[in-house]
Amino acid sequence: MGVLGTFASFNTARLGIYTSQKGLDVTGNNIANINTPGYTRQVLDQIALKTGGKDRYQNIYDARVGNGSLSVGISQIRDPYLDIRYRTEMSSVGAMQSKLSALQDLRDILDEVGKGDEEFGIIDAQFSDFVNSLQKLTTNTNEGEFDVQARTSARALVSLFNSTAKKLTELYENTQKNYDSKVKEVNEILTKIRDLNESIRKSEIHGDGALEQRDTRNNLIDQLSEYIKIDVVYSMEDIGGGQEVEKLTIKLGNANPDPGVATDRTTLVDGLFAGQLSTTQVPRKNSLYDPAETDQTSDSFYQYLMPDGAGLTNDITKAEMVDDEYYRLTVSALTDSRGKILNSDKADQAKYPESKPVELDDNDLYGSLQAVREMLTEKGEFSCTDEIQNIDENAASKRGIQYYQRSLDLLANQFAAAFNEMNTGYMKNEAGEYIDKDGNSILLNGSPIKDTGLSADQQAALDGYTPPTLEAYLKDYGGYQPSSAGVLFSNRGDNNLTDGITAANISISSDWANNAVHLVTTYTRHEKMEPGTTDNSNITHMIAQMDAKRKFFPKDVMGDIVADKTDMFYGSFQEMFTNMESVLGNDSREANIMLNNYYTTSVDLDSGRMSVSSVDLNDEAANMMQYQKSYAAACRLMTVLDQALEKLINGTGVVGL
Amino acid sequence: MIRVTTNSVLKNYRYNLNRSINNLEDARQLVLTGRNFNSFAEDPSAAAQSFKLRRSYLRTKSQYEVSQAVNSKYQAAWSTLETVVNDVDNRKGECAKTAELVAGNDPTASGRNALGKNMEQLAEGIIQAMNGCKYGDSFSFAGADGLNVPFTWENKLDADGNVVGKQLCYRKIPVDISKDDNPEQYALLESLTTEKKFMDIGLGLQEDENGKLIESSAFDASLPGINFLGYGTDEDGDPKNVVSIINQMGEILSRCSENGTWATEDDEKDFRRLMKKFETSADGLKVAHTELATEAKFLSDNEAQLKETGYTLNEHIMNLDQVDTAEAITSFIWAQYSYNASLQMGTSVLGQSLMDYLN
Repeated sequence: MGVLGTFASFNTARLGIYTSQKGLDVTGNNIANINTPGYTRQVLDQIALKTGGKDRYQNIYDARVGNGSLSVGISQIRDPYLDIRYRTEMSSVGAMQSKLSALQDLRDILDEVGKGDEEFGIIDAQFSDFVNSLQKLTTNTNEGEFDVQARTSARALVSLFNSTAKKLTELYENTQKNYDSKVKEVNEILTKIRDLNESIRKSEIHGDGALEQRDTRNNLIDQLSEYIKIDVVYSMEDIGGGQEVEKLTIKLGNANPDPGVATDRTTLVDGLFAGQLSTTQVPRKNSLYDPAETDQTSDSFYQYLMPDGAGLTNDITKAEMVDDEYYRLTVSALTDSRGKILNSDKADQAKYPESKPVELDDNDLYGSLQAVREMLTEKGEFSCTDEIQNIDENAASKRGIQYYQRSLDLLANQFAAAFNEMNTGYMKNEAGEYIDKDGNSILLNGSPIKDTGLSADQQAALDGYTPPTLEAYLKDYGGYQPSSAGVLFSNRGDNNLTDGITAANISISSDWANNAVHLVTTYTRHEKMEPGTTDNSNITHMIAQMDAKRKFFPKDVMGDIVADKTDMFYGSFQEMFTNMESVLGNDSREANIMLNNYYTTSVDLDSGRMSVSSVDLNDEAANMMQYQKSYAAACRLMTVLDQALEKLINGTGVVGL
Repeated sequence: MIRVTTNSVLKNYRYNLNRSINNLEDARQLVLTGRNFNSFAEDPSAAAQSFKLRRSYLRTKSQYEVSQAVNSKYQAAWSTLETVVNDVDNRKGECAKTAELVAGNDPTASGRNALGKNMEQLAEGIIQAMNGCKYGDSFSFAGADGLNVPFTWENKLDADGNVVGKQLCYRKIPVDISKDDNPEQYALLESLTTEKKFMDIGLGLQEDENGKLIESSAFDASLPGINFLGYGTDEDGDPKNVVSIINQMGEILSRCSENGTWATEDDEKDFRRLMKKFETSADGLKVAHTELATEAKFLSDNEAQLKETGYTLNEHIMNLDQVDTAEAITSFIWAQYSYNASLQMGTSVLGQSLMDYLN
C-alpha cells in the first residue's frame, strides 16, 4: 500500500466540488447566453488529476489512485469546416440579395405590369396614345387641333422619358451611396476584427482563451463573408519564450475566374494588421487624347489632365488623381492599431516584404459589395471594347443600372431620330422622285433621285460631292421641304438641336412647341400642283413606322467605342421598351431563384453549425443535473472521509476506555 | 445523428414560418390584385405577351375609331350620291332625266325654256350637294385636298378672253377639257382621279423595305369627286361629266323660244346628242354610287370585325392576366391553412424541455 496523506482524499473531494461547481458555472453561462447572437456553447475541459513520481516508501505493488479531477480550461465547440462552407455560401447570399434589391429598385421604375390606366402600362401606353393621336390626324389631316393633340401626346411621352431617366439617375446615385456605405461597413468590420485580434492575443498571452471575444469576431467574420468572399485561416504564431498564440489571417476568397490573377488572394487581415478598402485612384483622362497624335502642341497629344486646371500631361505622376469610374477598389497596406505598416520594420525585406497597397482587379471580389458595384458599372451590350478587353471579359453579359439607362437613351434617341427624319424630308413627285419648286425632278449623275435609294452610279457621284450627303445635294439643286417641316424632337426644349438626344434630355423641339413646325402630312405632290391639303401619306408612314421593326444599335448612343457593333434588339419602339422590362424581369427572376437556393443552403449550413455550436436546453439541463449530482457526491465523499477520520482519530484505540 | 439544438430548431422554425407567410402573402396578392403576375419577374414571357396583346388591343381600338370615321364619311358620301343620283335620274318627279325626256319630246316643247332653267339649277344643286358633303372640316369628295372646296363654277373664256359662259372645275381644273387639246391639264385631272388617302383601318398596315406603303395593307379613303361625276370629253368633244352635260342641256333649252322652238338647228342636234351622252354618264354615276355602297358595306363589316377582334384580344388578355378566382381563393385558403398550422406548431416548437422536469 502506498503512502497517502491523511487528508489527501479531502483534496480529491474538494477538487470534485470545484470541478462540479465550474461545470455548473459553464452550464449557467451557456443557459444565460442561449439567445446571444453568435454565442458558441462552451464546455468544461476537465481532466483526472494524478500526482506522479516515486516516494521514498513506495511499494512496488502499490495500486495507484488518482487525486481527483481538475478543470483545466473552457473550450468552444465549433466546426471550422462548417464555418468555411457557411461563409462561402453567405457571399453568394449577399451577392444575390444585393443584386435582387437593386433589380427591385429598377423594377419599381421600369416594370409597368399592372400599372397605368386599366393596367396598360405607362410609357408603353403613352406610345400607343401617340399612335392614336396620329391615327386621328389621318382622319382630320391638317386640322390644327389634331396636330396639337399629337404634339401634346408626344410631350407627355418625352416627359415620361425624362422622368424615368431622372429616376434611374437618382437610383444610380443612391446605389453609389449604398456602395460607399458598404465599403465603409467592410472597413469598420476589418478594423474591429483587427482590434479583436489584438485583444484576443493579449488575453491568450495571459492564459485566457477569450472565448466571448472569439464569438464576436466570428460574428464579424460571418458579416464580412456576406460582403466579400473570404478565406479564413488560423495559424499559430511564436511570440517568443516558447509561447505561441493563435493568429487569424483573412484573405480574399480567390473569386476571380481568371487563373492568371493573383490579387484575388490579397490579404485583408494578418493578425494584428488589417487593410482598408478605398476606391482606386486613377489619373483623370483627357477626353481629347488621340494615340495617333504626334504634335506635342496639340491637346490630343496628352493623356491626362493635371490638378487645378494646370494643363495636360503624359506623366502619370503629375496627373490629377480621381476615383475610378469602375469603382475598383484598392486594399491599403496592412497596418496595426498604431498605424504601423506590416513588416515596415523588418530588415530582411526579401523574406518579410513590407505590406503595400494592392489595386484589385475587376472580378477579385464576390459578394454583396461586388454585386452593388456591378449594378453601378456593368453596361451589358453597351460595354466598350476597352472595358471587355481590360476590365471584365464578361462585361457584355452583365447588366447594371447603366445598361437600363443606356437602353432607355437608345430608345429615346432612335424614336427622336426616326420622327425627326420623317418630318424633315424633301418634296417628291408621285413617282417618288425629288423635285424642285417648279416640279422638275432633281438629277444626280443624269438621272432623277428616287426616294427608294440611289443607284450605284449615283452613290458614287454623291460620294464625290461636298459634303457627300443627299440632303446637301438636294438643297443645292433646288430641293425643298414643306413649310411645316422641321425637327420634332430636340435635346432641349428651347432649341432645335438633335445631337446627343437621350431619355433625360429628349424634348419637343422649340419650333414644334412654337407652331413653327407641324407634323408634315405629305412630301408628295404632282409636278404642277400643290400637295393635297388632306393628303396624309406621311402621317400614315409615321403610324407604320411606329410598328415597323428596326434594329437598335448600342453604338448609336455610345459611338464606335462599344465592343459589339451589331444590333442588340430587333423590333418596334414599344417592343424595345418591353424588351427592357423582359430583360429586367428575367434577371430578377434568375437572381430570386439563385437567392432562394443560396439562402436555403445557408440555412441548412447554419443549422449544421448550430447543431454543433449552439446551446441546447436539454443538453444544459442534463449537464446541470450531472454537475449537481457530482457536486452532491463530492460533498458526500467529504462527509464520508470526515466520518472515517473521525473514526480513525477519535474512535480508534479507545477499547476499554 | 445530427444534434438538434434549441436554437437550430428556432432558426428552422423562423425560416419556415417566413416561407409560409411569404406563400400566404403571394396567395393574398393573387386574390387582391386578381392578376396572375404583378411584375415581369414573376412571369417574363406572360408579361411580354400581355403587353403585346394590350398594344394590339389599343391599336385595334384606334383602328376601329378610324374605321368608324371613314365609314361615317362613306355613309355621308353615299347619302349625298344617293341625292345626286335622284337628281339625275329617279325616273319620276323633278330630275334631270325627266326634264331631258320632257324637253326632248316636241309635244311638250313649250316647257323647254323653263326646263332649261330647271336643269341648270339642278346642275348647280348637284355641285352644291357634292361640295356640301363634309366629314369634320374636310370635303368628302375632294380626294386628298379636303380642306379646299372640290367643285367650282368658273367663267369660261373664249380665245380673246371674253366670258362665254361658265364651266365646272375640279380643284380649279376644268373638268371638260380634252386630252388632245389640253394634255397637261388633262394629265393633272387624271392624276387627281388616282389620288390616294390611305387609312389604317386594321388591314395590317405595313411598309416595304424602302418605307413605301404596301397599299393592300391600308384602306384608300380618298373620294375624288370627278370619279363619280366624270371628266374629260368624248370623241364628239362633249363632256363626260354628268353635271356639265345637264348644265349644257339646260343652257341649250334656256336658249329655246317661249314656244319651245330651238334657237338653232345645231342646238337641237347638240341636245339630241347630249341626251345619249347623259344616259351614259348617268349610268356611270349609278355604277360609282353602287361601288361606293359596296365599299361602305366593307367598312361596316370591317368595323364589326375590329369590334370582334377587340373582344377576342380582351378575352386573351383577361385569360393571360387575370387569375382564376376559384383557383386563387383555393390557393389562398390553402396557404392560410398552412400558415395557421405553422403558427400552431410555433406554440410547441419551444415546448417543454428537460428543464421543465427538474425539481
